[in-house]
Amino acid sequence: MKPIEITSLVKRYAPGPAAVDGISLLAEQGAVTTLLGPSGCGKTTTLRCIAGLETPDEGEIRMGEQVLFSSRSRVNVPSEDRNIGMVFQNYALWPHMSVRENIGFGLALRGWSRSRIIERIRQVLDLVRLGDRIDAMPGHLSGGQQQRIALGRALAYNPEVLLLDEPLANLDARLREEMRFELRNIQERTGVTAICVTHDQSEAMVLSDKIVVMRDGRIEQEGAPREIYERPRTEFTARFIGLSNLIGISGIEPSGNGLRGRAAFGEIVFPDGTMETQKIAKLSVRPEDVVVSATRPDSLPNAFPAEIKTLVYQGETVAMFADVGGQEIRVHVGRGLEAAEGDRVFLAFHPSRLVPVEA
Amino acid sequence: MKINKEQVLAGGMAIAGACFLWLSTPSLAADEGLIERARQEGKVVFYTSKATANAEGVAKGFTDKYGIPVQLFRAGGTQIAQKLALELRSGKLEADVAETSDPTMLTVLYRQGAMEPFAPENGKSLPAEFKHPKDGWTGSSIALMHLIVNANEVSPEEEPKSWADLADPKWKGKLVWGSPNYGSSQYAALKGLLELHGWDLIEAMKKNETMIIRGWPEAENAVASGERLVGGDASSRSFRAMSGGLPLRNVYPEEGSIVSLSAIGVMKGAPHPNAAKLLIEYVLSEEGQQIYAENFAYPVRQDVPVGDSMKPLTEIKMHTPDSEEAVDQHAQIVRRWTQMMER
Amino acid sequence: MPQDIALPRSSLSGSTVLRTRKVSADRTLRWLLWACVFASLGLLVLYPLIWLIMGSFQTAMGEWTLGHYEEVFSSYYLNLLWDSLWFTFLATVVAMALGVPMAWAVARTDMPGKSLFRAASAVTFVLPPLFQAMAFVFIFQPNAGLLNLLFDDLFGVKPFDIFTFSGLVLVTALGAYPQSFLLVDSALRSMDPALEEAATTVGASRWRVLRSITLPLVLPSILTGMNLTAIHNLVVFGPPAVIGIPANIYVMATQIYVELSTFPPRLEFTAALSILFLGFAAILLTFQLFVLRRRSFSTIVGKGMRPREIPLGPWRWAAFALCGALVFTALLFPAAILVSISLSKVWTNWFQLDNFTIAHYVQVLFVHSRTLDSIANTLILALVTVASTLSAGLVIAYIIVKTRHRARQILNYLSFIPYSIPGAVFTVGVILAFIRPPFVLYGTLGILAACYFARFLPFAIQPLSAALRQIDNSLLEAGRVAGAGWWRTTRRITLPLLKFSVLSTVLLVFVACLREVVSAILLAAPNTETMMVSAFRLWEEGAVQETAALMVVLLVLVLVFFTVARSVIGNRLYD
Repeated sequence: MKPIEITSLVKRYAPGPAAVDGISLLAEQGAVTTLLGPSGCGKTTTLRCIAGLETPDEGEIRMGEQVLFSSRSRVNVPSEDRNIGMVFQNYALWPHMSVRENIGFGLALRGWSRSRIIERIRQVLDLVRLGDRIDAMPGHLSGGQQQRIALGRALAYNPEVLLLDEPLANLDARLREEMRFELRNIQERTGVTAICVTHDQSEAMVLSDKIVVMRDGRIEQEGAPREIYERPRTEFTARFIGLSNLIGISGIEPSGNGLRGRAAFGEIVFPDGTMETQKIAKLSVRPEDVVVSATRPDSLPNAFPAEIKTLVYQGETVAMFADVGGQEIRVHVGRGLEAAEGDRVFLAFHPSRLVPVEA
Repeated sequence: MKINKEQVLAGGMAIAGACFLWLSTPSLAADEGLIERARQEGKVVFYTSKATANAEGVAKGFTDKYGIPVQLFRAGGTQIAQKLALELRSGKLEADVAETSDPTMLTVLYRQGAMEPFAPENGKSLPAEFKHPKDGWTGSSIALMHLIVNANEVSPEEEPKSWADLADPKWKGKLVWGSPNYGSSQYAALKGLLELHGWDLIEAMKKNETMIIRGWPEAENAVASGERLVGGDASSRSFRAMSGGLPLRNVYPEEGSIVSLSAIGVMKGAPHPNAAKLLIEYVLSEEGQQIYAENFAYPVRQDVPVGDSMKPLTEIKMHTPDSEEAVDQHAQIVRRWTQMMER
Repeated sequence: MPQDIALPRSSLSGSTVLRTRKVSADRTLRWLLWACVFASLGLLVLYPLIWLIMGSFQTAMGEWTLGHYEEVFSSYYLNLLWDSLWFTFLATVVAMALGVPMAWAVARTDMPGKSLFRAASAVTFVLPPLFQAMAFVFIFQPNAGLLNLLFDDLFGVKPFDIFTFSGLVLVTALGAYPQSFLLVDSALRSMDPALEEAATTVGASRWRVLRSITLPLVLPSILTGMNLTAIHNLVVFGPPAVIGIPANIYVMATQIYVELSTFPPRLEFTAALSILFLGFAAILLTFQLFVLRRRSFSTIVGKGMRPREIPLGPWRWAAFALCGALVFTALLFPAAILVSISLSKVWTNWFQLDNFTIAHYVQVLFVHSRTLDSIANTLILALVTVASTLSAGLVIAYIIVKTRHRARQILNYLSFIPYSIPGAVFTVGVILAFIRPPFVLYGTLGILAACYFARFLPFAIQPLSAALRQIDNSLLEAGRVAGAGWWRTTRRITLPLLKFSVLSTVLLVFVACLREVVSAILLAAPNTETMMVSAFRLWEEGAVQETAALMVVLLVLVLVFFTVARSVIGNRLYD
């Protein structure tokens, strides 16, 4: 189990903007690092560069001490010699081989003895809880089972690093939910260094020790899931991770030990972060962090009158779309709320929940 | 071209006479040295326009006698010459012995330097007309070009009596003739017709919607099936066809059946030159000629009798085309024919 | 408990060194295969074409001349070109008119006997057109044709004459109809029925659906079928040789044959003539590319759903009778005629009991060294061609589909050149190229193998690259990541996944070799005749029964092959 370190990686497919534009990151040993971003952001390309399935144009990739790729010293270890496990989006189980053969393939290539291979296959199948399907053909397995076999195949030969390319994208919603935890569980049990690519932020939240948000071939922000969710640095991150209300703000000036600025619906105070004041373009506030009350809450600053436009029942919460001085704000409130469309209420933004973001 | 009738007659008589008058000479045993050298060469490749039974018969007899296998290629004489021309161009000659049913092709090839002069022992006694002046080839058998009619449909009274009758409109749509583009005896037949009647007759045959086929056997099939009623044919084929049960009858035209001499020769640069010479000796031996005669070819050797079902040459009036002229005019005649009849 | 999965890893570090060596071996092997493929395409495709062009400007002695072109552009040859195109057009129209309605009836209606019609059409497709042509001569020749004799007995007239332009067109069309039939049938069968059902739900009548939905959707297949049929007819040799030549009707293939089989053979002139034809074949090819490019929507296929059958009511029997008549005329009747001739002592005595003999089969199969050799030659050639096109086809399809090799487009074009060139034309190039040093192959089986390789390579590349495209890259990448090098990935994953298409490629190329006539007839030396050449030469010699016997032997071979193929591949055979 080794860490993966990427330095100034560049990959161009055609003249024009690079698919991966000089990213550097560290995937720590034994942890799950997730590359998160919309399609075309370069996350899959980065993963394929690590796997050796693409040849980068510039930069360096190292696995522990071993240089896998370096444009400067002209090193490019072929994919098959990197000792990496990979789970493909479509699982890529070889349809002409049984489960046993699929998992045993990598082991045989490593010169394992027959008895050891069998022992290992059983072990792996127990790990992915498919011990009874050893002789099944992939075509006869369900999507979730295929997914687990693919995972087992990738882990069987103790790879240094496990790469997961949208591992859950092809599963239906319920199974996807289950498999997130299962995947996390298996990773923790094996302690393998994992790098996962996904466009699904909730998947990233559950799976990751570290999330790397990517946009247009660059890293937008990286950090622990909580940090990414609660302290997005840019409008892009705030929008992409979870739901966010973005309040345009201008005329920022110091106010007490915080800052104060003008929003469309009035003056608003918020804490002073690490960001330079000039860069602050908007304030992000999560729907579940907005406080709703029938009367003006005296104890809270940043309270504004609003009119409820729409209420949508979502199950665990109710989504309320309210008009605040011309801006629509989304609020998630408990099911106990007694209100109707057209009611006039007050919305309050607790300063600590207001996150200033860059454009 | 004007042909003197007497000349033609004389020519025919000369050959007919020759067939009977040359002295009977015993078949010479082939030189032991030649046999030895031939055996060492292992095999012989024989291109011939003889009917399959003749070709295979001679090949089998030769192999039985000398233990040397014969590889056969049977096709029309023109096609044989074409094949040889391409082989010569490729510089990789396969053929050792070439035999066509008219000497024209071999003379053309001789002029191109493709034939190895060879005067077989067994050909010594043949009259000069049966040999190339420079030994480029030797005559191996004789065939007569004549007419065939469908025996069921055409009574002896209404059958054509002469070549000139082919111009008769009553045969319109009922004639079949062989193209000189494929077979060498077809060329001999055409040359003979031209000598006797000129291009006018060919023109008339065109008007009569003569069906043009590639080889005489096709003509036999057409006439036998009633597809056509009258056609040209070679004696070597017609006797066989009739003995096989096809409803045909031979008609020997008044002007004379056209003589077509089969010619056999060794290729220059033949891969198996000694086996080639031995094969030619065999073809000209009494035994070889016997095989040909049994298979409906008129032997060139006087000491070999013609087959039982064949009409003796002495009973047939013959016309022999001018062989030198046939060579000189070959390209020109074939070209004119093709443009007139096959386009 | 991470321990339970962490097994000893000692074996891994040790194998790293070993695998580095393997990588270089892999690269060498790949380089070698690439080089082989490029070299063989250069030698067997490009080199003959270069000689075709050079030769057309040379005399037989190698001097430069424009004389051939002067002759080529004379009225006779321009007329010939026109005749060829007119013939191609008419035969294609007739073949389409036969094949497409039958495809609809078989694929979409409740007409009985569908599997019979499919099977018969597939067998017809595989048989060389020479087969029908020879049989039809016996049936329809103007005076002695069997049907003419029958009509003569009954009504006192002989209405048919096969030795005419229309006779030639009809016989050619009867041999060519399965091409469009099989294509359109398979397109109709694989079309998603929901597309038609959707039209019904918005209120379209059955005929409206046929006109507005079904027809436009299969139109690309119809056009492709038409184009393939046209190419087939443009190059076909059998009917024009057997029916056209006696009728003094010449088309491209037969004219080339005639120019080359007379004495002296006019090789260089024929090259110039070929180039004239080539220009016109290029027009068809361009059309083909155009059609193929627009084909994308023809791939809208359902998932194994059976399309609804349209009930024809009493008309189903009428449809059955029409299709039955077609199949009977194109396959069963000719086959019966050839069988009966091959078993007769005197072939003009039709159907008389005392006329029966198997002597001709004995001759063909056991006595005549010529036919025996030709059967052996055919099988050897087929095996060599299958092996060579399959291996080269695999490599080329792999490069085209699975790599981003810079030369892959060149490779693609290069390997498809012979497909777009009439067989006879390409063969002229092959003769010109391999009749001279440094590669003298003329007169050997090698020259046939070389020509077959180039001509049939596209037959291998097409299905193989289609199949490779179906194999997701991730399957191969998964192999690489798991630790298998290129060669091992190829051997363990790519090739096994291609098993089915490899098999159908083998069958396809094998059949192509079996039925090939024109290249074989132009290239065959005495000892390198194939079955088809032997049959054609026996025909020329008038050995009617032996020819028929040989054709029946071929028919049996085809039927055996067909049965094997069907049991191996099943119904996908028709696609």
